[in-house]
Amino acid sequence: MGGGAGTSSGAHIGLAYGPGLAEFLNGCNTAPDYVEVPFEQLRHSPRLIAELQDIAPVYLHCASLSLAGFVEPAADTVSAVAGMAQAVRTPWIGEHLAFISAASLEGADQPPHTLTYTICPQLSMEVVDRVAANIALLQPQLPAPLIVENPPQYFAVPGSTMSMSQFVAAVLDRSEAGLLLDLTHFLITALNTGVDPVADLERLPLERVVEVHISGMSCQSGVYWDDHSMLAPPEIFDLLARTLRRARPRAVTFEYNWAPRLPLQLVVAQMDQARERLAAA
Amino acid sequence: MKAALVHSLLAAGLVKPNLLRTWGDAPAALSRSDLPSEPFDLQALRQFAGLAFKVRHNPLRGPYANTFRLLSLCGLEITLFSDYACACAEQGLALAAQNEERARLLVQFIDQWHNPALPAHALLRDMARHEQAVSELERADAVAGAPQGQAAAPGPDSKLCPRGAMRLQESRYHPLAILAAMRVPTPDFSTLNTGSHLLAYWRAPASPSVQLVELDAFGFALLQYADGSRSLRELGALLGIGRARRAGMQALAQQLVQAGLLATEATAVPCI
Repeated sequence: MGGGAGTSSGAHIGLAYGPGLAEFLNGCNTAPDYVEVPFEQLRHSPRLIAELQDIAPVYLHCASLSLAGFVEPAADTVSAVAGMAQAVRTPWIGEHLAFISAASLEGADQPPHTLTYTICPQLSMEVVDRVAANIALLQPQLPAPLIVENPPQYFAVPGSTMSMSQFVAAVLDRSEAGLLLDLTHFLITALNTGVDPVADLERLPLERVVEVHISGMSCQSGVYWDDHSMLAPPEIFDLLARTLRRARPRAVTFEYNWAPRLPLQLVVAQMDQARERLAAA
Repeated sequence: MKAALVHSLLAAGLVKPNLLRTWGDAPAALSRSDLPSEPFDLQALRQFAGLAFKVRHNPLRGPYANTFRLLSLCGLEITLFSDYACACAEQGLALAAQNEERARLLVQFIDQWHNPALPAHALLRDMARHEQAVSELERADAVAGAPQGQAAAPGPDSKLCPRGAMRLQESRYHPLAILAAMRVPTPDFSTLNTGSHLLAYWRAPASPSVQLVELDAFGFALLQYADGSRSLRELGALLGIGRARRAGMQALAQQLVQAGLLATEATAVPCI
């Protein structure tokens, strides 16, 4: 098994699995400390497990458990996540604080609406309670701890009574889960909702951060959007430095997994920057 | 359980983004007593549907890298994919399983969607069609055909056909000029010349690569109609070439034969 040496802080620097991984391996002549892979991709192509484990340790990421939803994931999906987590020996399972399916408007006898992309839920105590219940239900069925990822907020969801940071804090207050802090999602949410990101970061329970996600973003039609084909802007690294004043993440994942070609030198420079910041923390 | 109903409405609108327009036209559908009083931001939901649809087209970012970069540079990704997601939902079209078909449908949509009065739209349309032509010709099986050799001069009764695989298309911006402009981080497209560029994308027999040849209107028409069934004389009549210009046409045909684009034998594969 390959994989890099981590950082002097003990934290690891990884890459999300995507079409650019091969170019990274060829161009950098070294492997990242780990590769983070979506469960959905491994389920579709199980042969990837062996291929990736030859490169680096595999961390499992997931978008199928619909933690903030009111429709439970199918039993075979949960058992497949568990089986995959066991197979790759992931240290934890990252999952979005979002939902991927919801009851049909056509009636209870109809299959739920199921999406291909996770959606930010209503930010309310009703949903916080639901997330806590879902984690309590799912965690005993999984061989690795769940960590929950803050979603990006692109629009106000009717009935919301709290900000994203309050929502995340409330969920963690009611569960044992760790936090997967996606700094790009965090910045997007702050910009789209008119919140000062520096002040809002302090409202998060940063001591619970287990993993950090970093990716790019864009602004189109007056809205900031997640964009894994672009490099993270400098503001993300400022937020990382601020996060590290209170947090000791075990992993930082660069999510550059939408495009096959990466500006390798810049990616490596960003990874080195993250290593330095982790070491200095 | 208000939150569950809110989630159901969000999910329904994202699965079928055409519903968002219906709800916009008839807001009463979202004014139920069991829903929160705040309105749903239907425009933002529509944009989010565009983001999700864009992500599902990520597998095309290899062969269509410049189209995607142009979309990003021009700030058109969300607008385009929102409109495309709604159009597909209205027509009941599922996303194609194969990337080639997914690409074909996307380029077809861009062609119908683009507003030629907007330079960014025209650039996008030209780049998408350029990358489609290159990608499809590169992917095609190697074309058999006679080696170029010493081409005989075509006479009036020679039957002409394209040599190799070929695709002819018109472009407002020259694709190579767009690509040259895109070499810098913040391109200035306003300096690009517009016009009517008549282009042949050509993959010669046994060649792995695609060449781009710019033609004049006459050469473009000749390649368009030279399908191996018509003689040069018949092509002249079809194109309305009078007796006085026949010699010029013959000379042009000779040039195209010498360049390897036309063959005097009907051995080539038709245009794709």
